[in-house]
Amino acid sequence: MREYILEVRNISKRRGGKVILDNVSFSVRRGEVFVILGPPGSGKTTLLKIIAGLEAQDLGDIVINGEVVNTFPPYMRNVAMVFETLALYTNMTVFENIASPLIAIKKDREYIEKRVREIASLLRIEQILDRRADKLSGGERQRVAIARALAKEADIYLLDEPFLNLDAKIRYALRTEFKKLKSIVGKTIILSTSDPHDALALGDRVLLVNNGRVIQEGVPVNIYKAPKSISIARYLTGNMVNEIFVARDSKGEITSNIGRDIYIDPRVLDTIVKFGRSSLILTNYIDSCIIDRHIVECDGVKIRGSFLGYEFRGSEYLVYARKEDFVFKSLSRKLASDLNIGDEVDVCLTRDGMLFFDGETGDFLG
Amino acid sequence: MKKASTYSKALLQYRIKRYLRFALILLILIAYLIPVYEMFVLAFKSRTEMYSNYFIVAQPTLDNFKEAYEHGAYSAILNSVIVTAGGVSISLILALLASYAFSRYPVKGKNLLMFYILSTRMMPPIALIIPVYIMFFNLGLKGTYGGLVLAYAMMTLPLSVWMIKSFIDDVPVDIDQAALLDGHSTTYILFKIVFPMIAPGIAASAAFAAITVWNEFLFALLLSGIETKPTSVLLSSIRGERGFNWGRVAAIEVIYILPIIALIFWLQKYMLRGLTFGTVRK
Repeated sequence: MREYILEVRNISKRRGGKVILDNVSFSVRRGEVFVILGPPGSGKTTLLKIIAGLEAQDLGDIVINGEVVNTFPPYMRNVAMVFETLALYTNMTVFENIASPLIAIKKDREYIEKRVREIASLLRIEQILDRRADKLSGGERQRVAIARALAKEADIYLLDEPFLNLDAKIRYALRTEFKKLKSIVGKTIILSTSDPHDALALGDRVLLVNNGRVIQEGVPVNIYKAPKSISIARYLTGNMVNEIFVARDSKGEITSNIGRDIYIDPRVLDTIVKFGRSSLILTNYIDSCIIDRHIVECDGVKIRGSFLGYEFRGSEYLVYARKEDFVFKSLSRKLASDLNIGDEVDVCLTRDGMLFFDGETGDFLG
Repeated sequence: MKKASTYSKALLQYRIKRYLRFALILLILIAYLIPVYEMFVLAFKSRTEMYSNYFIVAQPTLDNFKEAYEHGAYSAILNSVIVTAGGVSISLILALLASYAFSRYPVKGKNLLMFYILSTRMMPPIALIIPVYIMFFNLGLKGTYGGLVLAYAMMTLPLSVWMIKSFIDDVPVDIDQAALLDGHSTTYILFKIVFPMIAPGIAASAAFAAITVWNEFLFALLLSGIETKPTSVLLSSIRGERGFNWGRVAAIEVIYILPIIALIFWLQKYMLRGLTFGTVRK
């Protein structure tokens, strides 16, 4: 059996003179959850539709199970898809929606009845099978769309933004169920999302795309710990990163954009020198930043700033401090109870969670 | 105290405005309904009572309806039903297929074609009547049901295409693609999924087309024959021995407007849904 169930080779697509996909290539392993992550308009939906055969590429090949399927009509590719719009047949009942792919391949009534009830029970929608599809809540609609895709025993399931436009509670519940479902179904799933949290939480591997181009590919941990550029780090965290711009002047002295009044650990200094760049961006994810009244030991960069406030997030606090015009954020389990807005605090960007990017190009250095 | 008096003054003003608005609406409604009411009253009046008792019927009679029957009103109504049903059906079938193609396929010069289709409605029908008459006469279609049905299908097609296309445009293309991926044929997608989804729109288009055909006079006058004469033509030709028999005319008019009123009441829900379809983002 081939390792890769799907190979996307040099796919390019233009629409109305605009480049939608530019030489996109990647491969998907059998049974894995492969996430295509990118901002809205980056070409994710077009890519999925090209894989499904619903849109034609200008250049490149789609290979499924080792066979080039460029000329195959959608139903011959044996893929199922959950559309971003869900595309439920609102003139039909939930049962008829789920049964649709089975009716199309002319399965007998008994089989259809059994299979639909089986899938409905898996997704916990048995009680709404007789309801019309336009009389469902957001979460139910989502489940029915997934159920319809699952009814088809496909080799590859394509899920286009499956958690979009859902409120946080349903989103979280579906995300949890997705993991369970994945282990039961055990098929290859390609999921597109613009939410980095979904991508990192659900994907076995993640493909980052922007403006129709592949930016980075890898397992979630590697992408998170070694993003190819500062913009990816910002995107992955929703701009929840602390950044300091440092430069080396002609005398070799190190200056930063927040002044000289900072402490940089010698080991960090060594790393800066080792990279040999004229300027760098030191980045630190908020979960490896500490903000407290006094921090005695800091193995990274320590800044004296003032307490700006906090957000309570259930099990954690998002703490803010500022130094001149720069705001630092820290995710912490504890909060010093005697802190008042404006109080002096120490901000420590720990060395452990520190990433270095080129100051001019924004490229990842280490 | 001052505050309270300002409040009651504003309330009074608001109430006066509301009553005035209501009175205006009532006035317009009466102006519209008086002729209809008068038509119903006349239809049940005897000849002797015709020019007396304005607005009321002292001794209602069905004589006018009997006379209408004797003068071929019922066969004219049947003719109207045949040509309306035929014209609207053909127009709808063609419009559904054309609208789907315009909505879903990359037709070259789509906007120009759509404008061209609509532009045929901008031309006054009277400007077309002579060439259409000659053409229908030469084809042997004059005086036949087929001729009238064809003419009305042609007449209502542009508006139906425009209306139905806008309804199909509101159905996401993902629906068609999902069905295609399920393995359904285009015919199945059209007739089992897309068209049922825009049923209110189709009903609205059908109702508008039916009203147009039912009320049409000019083409009916020139293209119908003695046997195929619809009600609009019959009404214009009714003349008694001593001028117009208004009672008979009113009786035919009552029979004439009842089917279309019934149709509108029946399709009212769909027409309203059809007219507002797509105005709210789902």
